Amino acid sequence: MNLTDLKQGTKAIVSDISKINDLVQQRLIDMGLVEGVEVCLKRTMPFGGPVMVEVCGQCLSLRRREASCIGVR
Amino acid sequence: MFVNILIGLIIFGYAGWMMARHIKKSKQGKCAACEMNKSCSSSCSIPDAPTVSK
Amino acid sequence: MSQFALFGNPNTGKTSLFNNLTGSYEYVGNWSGVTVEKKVGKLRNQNGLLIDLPGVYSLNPLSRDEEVVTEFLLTEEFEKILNIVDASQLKRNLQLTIQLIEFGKSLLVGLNMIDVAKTRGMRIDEKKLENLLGVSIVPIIARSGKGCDLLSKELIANPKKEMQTPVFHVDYGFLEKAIEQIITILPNDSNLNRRWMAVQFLEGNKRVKTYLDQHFAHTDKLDQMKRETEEELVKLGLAPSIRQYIYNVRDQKVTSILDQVTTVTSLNKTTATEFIDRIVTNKFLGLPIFLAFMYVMFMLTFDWLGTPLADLLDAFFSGPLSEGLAKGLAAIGASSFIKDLVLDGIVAGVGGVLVFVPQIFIMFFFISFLEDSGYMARVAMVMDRIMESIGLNGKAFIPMIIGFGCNVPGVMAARTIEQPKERLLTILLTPLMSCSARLPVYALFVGAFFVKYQALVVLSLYVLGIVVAMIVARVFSFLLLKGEKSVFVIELPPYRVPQALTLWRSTWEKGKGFIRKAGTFIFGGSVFIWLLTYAGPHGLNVKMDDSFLAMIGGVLAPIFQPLGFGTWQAGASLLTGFLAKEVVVATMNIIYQVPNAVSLQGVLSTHYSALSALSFMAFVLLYVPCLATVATIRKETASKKWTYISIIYALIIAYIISILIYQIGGLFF
Repeated sequence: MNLTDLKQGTKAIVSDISKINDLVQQRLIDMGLVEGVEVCLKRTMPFGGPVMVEVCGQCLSLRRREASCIGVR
Repeated sequence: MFVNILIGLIIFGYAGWMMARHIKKSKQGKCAACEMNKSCSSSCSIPDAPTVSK
Repeated sequence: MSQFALFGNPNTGKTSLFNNLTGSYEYVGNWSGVTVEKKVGKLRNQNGLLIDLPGVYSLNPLSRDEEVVTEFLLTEEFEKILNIVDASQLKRNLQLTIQLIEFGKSLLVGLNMIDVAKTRGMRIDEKKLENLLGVSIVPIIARSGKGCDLLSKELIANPKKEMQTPVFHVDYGFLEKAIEQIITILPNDSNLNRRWMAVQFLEGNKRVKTYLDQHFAHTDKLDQMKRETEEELVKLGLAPSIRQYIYNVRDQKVTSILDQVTTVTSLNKTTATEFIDRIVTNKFLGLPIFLAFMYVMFMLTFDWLGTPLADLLDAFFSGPLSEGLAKGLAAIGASSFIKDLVLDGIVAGVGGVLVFVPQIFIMFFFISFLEDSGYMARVAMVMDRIMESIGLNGKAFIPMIIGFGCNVPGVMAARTIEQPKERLLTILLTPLMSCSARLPVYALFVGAFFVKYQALVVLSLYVLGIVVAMIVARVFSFLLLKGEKSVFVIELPPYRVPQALTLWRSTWEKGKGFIRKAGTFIFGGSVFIWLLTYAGPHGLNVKMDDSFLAMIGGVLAPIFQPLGFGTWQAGASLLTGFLAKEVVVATMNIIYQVPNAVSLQGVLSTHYSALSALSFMAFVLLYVPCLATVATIRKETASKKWTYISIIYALIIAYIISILIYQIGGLFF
């Protein structure tokens, strides 16, 4: 399952971030979005816009394309 | 007459100085030109490498 | 003098603390990437220099502002690291702290935002954390200044003391062998910590690699070792990459420390932020709300508040001030030359620009609010979809908003954009954003021609700037960004109510520049321009149309004929506007020889039609960036070619847009 498959407002555990491109991956690691942490999909922007997620009590935003590469369970 | 010369000198002197200073500062760009950054005494360091590598 | 350097994650309050400890008023805000360069300030107690650096998540730089930090560590001399740690985000912040401890310089931790942590139900045992990390920790609240005195005392206490035997040590397990090997290969001549270098190198720190390439001959050997280690690591199934492995090791260490020092009493959700976000980042309302915010800003600036205030100021300049000066000059027996110089030159020029101070302050107030509240990052998120369609990302919108204040910091703010070509593109587009110096030109013309729709017309000019920027971006990204994938990851900080004092200060700091400019450069420019109108080829005190300025402007006039303003006056004021855009208004005031803005507007209506006024405003909006911006573009792109392109493409576009407005508009009106 991917991060974008989550229903708005639900939580899951990140299981795989290796498929994202290098730059984004490093940024996400920096911000604490790594394998094994709990992530909550807060909101998605219209017309395929970015998603807003909460990790370790803080919000961040990333593109849907990248979010769909993040595996969760 | 003396007053006139004095005022004229002061005004033109100040104006010339300010123009010269502004152009000098603007040419430096970055913080030097930035009116918001007066209290910044930095030496704005960033390596001058070309941004577009490809 | 001893130097201390501020390190920390983005948006943890480094600059707030810097301002507090040095008594300066640097620019602060509530989003990641406010500070994009190194700033130096003197400590209040005169005992040293404090260096403010951009925020970083780790020492491996991804963007230009982050590069400044690693560059600083590698090449500059300093006594002590002051690491600011966000207490409410300890887990993430300590990742950086570990890297800094490994660097080996003596280190002091400022534990910031303990109040925020407390409201989230987190208690931190500072003494215990101090012991575990082996560094001194001072709890502070940088925004209010609590604990800052203690921090600065601690900072200068034994600045020379190096950490002899660090208490804190991270064991990288599997990697230790490779680290040892690299340490033995590395030369012992630099005063940089070799273990730190080795770990950073293995982690893939690009800047450290460049440093090694420059200072060390056998880097191919190092590269090979790294590759082999990585292969083995993956084969053993320890982690997908060295970077991830190192992160995991540090994370385990951090987690074990946090388990010992923090107690979470209740997981208090930050409901206010959640609630506001539900509205302003709503699927359907997000964009309309941002536009509504902009609309209110323009209405207040031009209609409800700004214009009445400007009129009062205008009345003062043209009435009591001019009369008083005239009387004073007469009393001391000044000649008519001096009288003309002061009244027609300086008062007209400088006063004509100063009149618009109220509007500019209102505008700056809103921009400061945007920066300080935490809304900025949300705007970036809301705009990302649109920016993506033109080949940029939402983050590029932040430099553009800053550009509304002044293009120079806007161009600098583009440093936070990771992809080099996207950054270049953002730099090229930012000058199309209508900066505050262009505002007096609009205010003057809408006051004369569009009295009823002032705010709307100006808003449409701002929108024109944005729309043109987007079209240009589309074209450029088509030509330029081939093969580079645009990325967008941004942190959304919690909202906070901006403190009145901070808000006022940041408005004032921005507005002050405008006033100072009026007193210095605009003053000089006015005198100079007045002299050009006073003197002509046939002597002094000539008729305006026979002056030098008329000659110069006259050369340009035919070029502007198709745009609807082919007068020497327009040509002359546009020419002087390159130095600074406010000068356009100063020049007009002097040329048309009128005592105040109201009568200038009267005179203008005989030289312009509503349509040519619109065309002129559009031209002022788009034509060449001012001298300071051009110089900044030159520095930031480090390329002559792109600097010229930025000037030339703006001129061409301005010409095309203005000609379209005037010619097509002429068909209807």
